[in-house]
Amino acid sequence: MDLIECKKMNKNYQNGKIEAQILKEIDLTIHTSEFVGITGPSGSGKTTLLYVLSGLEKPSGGTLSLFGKPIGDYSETDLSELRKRRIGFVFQFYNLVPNLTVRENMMLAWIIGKNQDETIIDELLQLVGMKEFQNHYPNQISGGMQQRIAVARSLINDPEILFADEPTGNLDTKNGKDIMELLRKLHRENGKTIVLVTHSDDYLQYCSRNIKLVDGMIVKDEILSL
Amino acid sequence: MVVFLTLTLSMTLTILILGMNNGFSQIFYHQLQDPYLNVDMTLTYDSNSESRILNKRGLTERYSAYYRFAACFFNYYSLIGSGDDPGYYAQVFSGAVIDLENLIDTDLGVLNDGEMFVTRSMADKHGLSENDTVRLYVSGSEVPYRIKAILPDRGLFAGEAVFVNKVELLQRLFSLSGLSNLGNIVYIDLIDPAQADTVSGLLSEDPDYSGFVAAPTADPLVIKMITKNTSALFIGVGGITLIAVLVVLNSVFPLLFQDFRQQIGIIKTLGGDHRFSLSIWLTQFLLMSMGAVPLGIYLAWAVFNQGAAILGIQSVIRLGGAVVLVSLAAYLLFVGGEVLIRFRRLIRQSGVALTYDHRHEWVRGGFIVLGVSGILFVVQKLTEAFSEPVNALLSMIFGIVFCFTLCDFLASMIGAGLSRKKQKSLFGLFGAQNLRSNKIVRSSLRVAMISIVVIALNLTVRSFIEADSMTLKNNVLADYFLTNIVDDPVAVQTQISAEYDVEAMQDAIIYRYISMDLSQDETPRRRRAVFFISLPPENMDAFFDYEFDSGVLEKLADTQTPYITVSEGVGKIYGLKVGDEVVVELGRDNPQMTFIIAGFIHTNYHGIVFSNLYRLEAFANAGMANTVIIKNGDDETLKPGLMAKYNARLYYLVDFQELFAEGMDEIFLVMDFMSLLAYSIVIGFVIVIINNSLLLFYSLKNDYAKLKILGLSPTGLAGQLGREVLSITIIAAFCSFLALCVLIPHLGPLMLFATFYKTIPWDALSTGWRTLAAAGVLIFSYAFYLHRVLRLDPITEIKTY
Ligand SMILES: Nc1ncnc2c1ncn2[C@@H]1O[C@H](COP(=O)(O)OP(=O)(O)OP(=O)(O)O)[C@@H](O)[C@H]1O
Ligand SMILES: [Mg+2]
Repeated sequence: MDLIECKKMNKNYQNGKIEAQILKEIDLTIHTSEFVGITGPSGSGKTTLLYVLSGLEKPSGGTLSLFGKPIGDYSETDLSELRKRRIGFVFQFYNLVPNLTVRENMMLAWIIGKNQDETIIDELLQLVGMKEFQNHYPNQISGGMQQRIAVARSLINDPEILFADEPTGNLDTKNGKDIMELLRKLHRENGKTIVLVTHSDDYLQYCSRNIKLVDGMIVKDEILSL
Repeated sequence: MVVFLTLTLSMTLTILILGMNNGFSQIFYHQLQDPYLNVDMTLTYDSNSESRILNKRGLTERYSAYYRFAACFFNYYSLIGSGDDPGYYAQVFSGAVIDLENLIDTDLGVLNDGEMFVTRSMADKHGLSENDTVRLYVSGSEVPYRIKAILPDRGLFAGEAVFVNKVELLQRLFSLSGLSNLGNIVYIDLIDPAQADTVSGLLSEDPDYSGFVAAPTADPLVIKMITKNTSALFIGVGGITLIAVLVVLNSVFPLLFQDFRQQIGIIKTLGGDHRFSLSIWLTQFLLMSMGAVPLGIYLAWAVFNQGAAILGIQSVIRLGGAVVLVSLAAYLLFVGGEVLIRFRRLIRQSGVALTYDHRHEWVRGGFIVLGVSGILFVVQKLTEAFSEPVNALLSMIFGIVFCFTLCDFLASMIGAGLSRKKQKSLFGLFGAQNLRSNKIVRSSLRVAMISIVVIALNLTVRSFIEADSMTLKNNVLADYFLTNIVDDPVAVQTQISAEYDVEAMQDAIIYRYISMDLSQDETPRRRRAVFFISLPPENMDAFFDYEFDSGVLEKLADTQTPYITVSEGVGKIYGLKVGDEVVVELGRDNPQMTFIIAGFIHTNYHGIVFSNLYRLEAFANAGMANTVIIKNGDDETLKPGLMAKYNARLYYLVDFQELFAEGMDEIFLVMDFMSLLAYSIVIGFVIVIINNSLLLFYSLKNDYAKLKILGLSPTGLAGQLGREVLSITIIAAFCSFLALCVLIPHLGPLMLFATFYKTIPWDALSTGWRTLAAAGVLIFSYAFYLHRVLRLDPITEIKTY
């Protein structure tokens, strides 16, 4: 099934008077159970592409469908519903709420998702190996740990697709690998579709497909053998 | 921008509060003086004068060196008719044309006998035009006058007024010719207005004029008194407002602080010198102040002048250099101090710590402050250890500190309670946590609370003034009193009831403007009683609706000991107790009469005293009764009739209702001005709240962005925000309500610091309503905040973090 499909999609940003075209004529389809790695030089538009594909930002031109429905047909509420149920996010800066404990951060997403079973929180904390730190505040644990919590949080509503923007960008090799292993596990064992933006080609070994952006254009789109 | 606005408003509010006294005194001066134009003093009769006609000749002969002009007028109220209109009352001015020219500072030309000038408003009201004929009723006959010209209202010659030649008028009235020096009022333009006191002193010694009153048109003493009394009402409100300004300023600094701590953190980690960043910081404040201070001063100036314009004053009201300097000094002291203290705290921390997120901080020590202020408040209330105003001040301070801390404490408790709850909700998790520990939320809460207090307090004082003046009016049931009666007042009553339909009458003793010495030791402390009244206490009810201490009315019936009763406020101002002695100057025959305080009158009007003089045996045969107090049914002819009939006998008719109506006009004018002041303060605080909500927004937008990314829908977010705002408002409103309950009853005693007193009534219901109204304003101001958060673009937020 095609989760995301876009044709001749553009994204412009207004910088003062100048309108800069960041994404140019993107043709792309993302299917269920893919693990897409988006690479490219800094400033090539990777983050922008991720935000547009996930519906956080609107494309400036071309077409984009999410879950088979054109983006224009989604209302604000529909989009938040999507984020709540079908899409998860992980960012480079972990984006935890600083005055809530690890568990409360999980709880926040859980409440917003209106989930029934609270045991999912424990399961996920277990999964990312953070159970014993559940009562710590974010500034009391390391960056790698925070990112693991962020991944766990993104999974709380069992999304179909996970968007991750350089989740390892702030981590050392060891912690980076741990996160990637976690993502791989999610992909393989739980069948999640993952769209990952990464700087480093090393991590492409985890992906099933590589899209390379240069200056806002797709210059490479290849299936990787796992 | 937020900081700039706050600095500006702080400056404005400080000047408004500190400059109130100065502003009021100029406004009252202009209100009194402006109609008189060049005239600096008047010489005329009052109810104590033995003659109503004075001769200007002595003035010309002996005092002409002092004045530029002395215009001698004969003025009176008269019935006037025109066309088919049977008649209406108007002020008749009469004098020489040159006198009127001087009085209204206008060239007029010739006015022949049989001609008159009328004012524009008179002409408009009664449809008069030039050359029309107007009938003046003089000594029982109609005299026709031709309107020579219609003059625009100016100075005293305004409202319903006409002007005719005095010599001609006096000839008709008294059948004597050439009476150009006679009149009943002289308007004097002094060469040096500062000599008004000297001249009135000289005149009071002069046998020709000692029976008359020479008074400056704008008596500095009178102005000082009205100013003091008006400002006294605002002491409490002003003090709280200043505290509020401090709280608000204090709440704004974290915003700058946030930027600077990171900046300094970076400079520090790079090994830079913090003196450099201090200078950047100070320069930034200086630059902002360079805009904010002049703008603040201008706004304060605009409020005063707008107020003056409402009162119809054309002159410019100045703020006064001293006020501006003091306000500026206070401003610099506070802002500078705040910058330095925060800076010092900053540089003690390590560079890395500074770059952390520091929005959250657990609040400690609240318990102790809460407990101590609460205990101090109770102890103070129980012991009442100091003088009344000091007690009031202490209670207010302890009370407000208590409520303030309670506000913090409640927020913590509710926050903690919600987050401990088993059944988690978004609000319980996110909102509660903010209530508990977010510094900006906490300061926002404080600003909200103090704003509610300030707004509600302003509403209270304003409505108090309105209600109070109504009560003063309603306390007097009598309509007129006819005083200066030299014959037997009982005989006068018989005459009156023969002619008119009067509801009630009572012969009584009334003196006006007599001096009392209320001191209980050697140094005299004098005060003038506007009405010194004595009538049989059993008939009091028919004419006055005052509430007395118990036992007072019995003592006023005493025939042996002279008793007096003064208002509660006078009692408090002079520290009088029941049984204290008061020495009263009752005219030439009884210059030093000692009365005993019988108790107090429960009124906020301090000009009235009652005594049992009427009943004293010692005076039974002295014929003291000089007055008939009259309560009219609804006979419209009564007043003009009495005036026409008894004016000739030099009796003096005082119209209570008119007196109060005039007083009310004044009060309403002052109130308009106060409202303006109050509304400026309220608007100032609304802006402050909006400002503050912006701060809150900046502090929390990142978290809101995260909620949005997690899929919280717009409605869900609005609900979350609504609950947050509501909980802040409810906590703030609750604590404000408590604070108001403490503050309002103490406002009266607090005025004793300015030797003034009014009982300001407190009741839970209206205090509650005003708190709600103010809280409504608060929620309204937060609407802006809701709007901002709902429009928040999460991407921009997420990208920067
Ligand atoms: N909100 C914005 N307004 C204007 N220009 C923007 C905005 N966001 C991004 N850009 C520009 O778009 C281009 C692509 O940005 P983007 O963040 O997508 O790059 P990236 O590939 O993710 O880079 P990096 O690897 O450094 O994260 C950059 O040149 C950036 O300056
Ligand atoms: Mg990027």
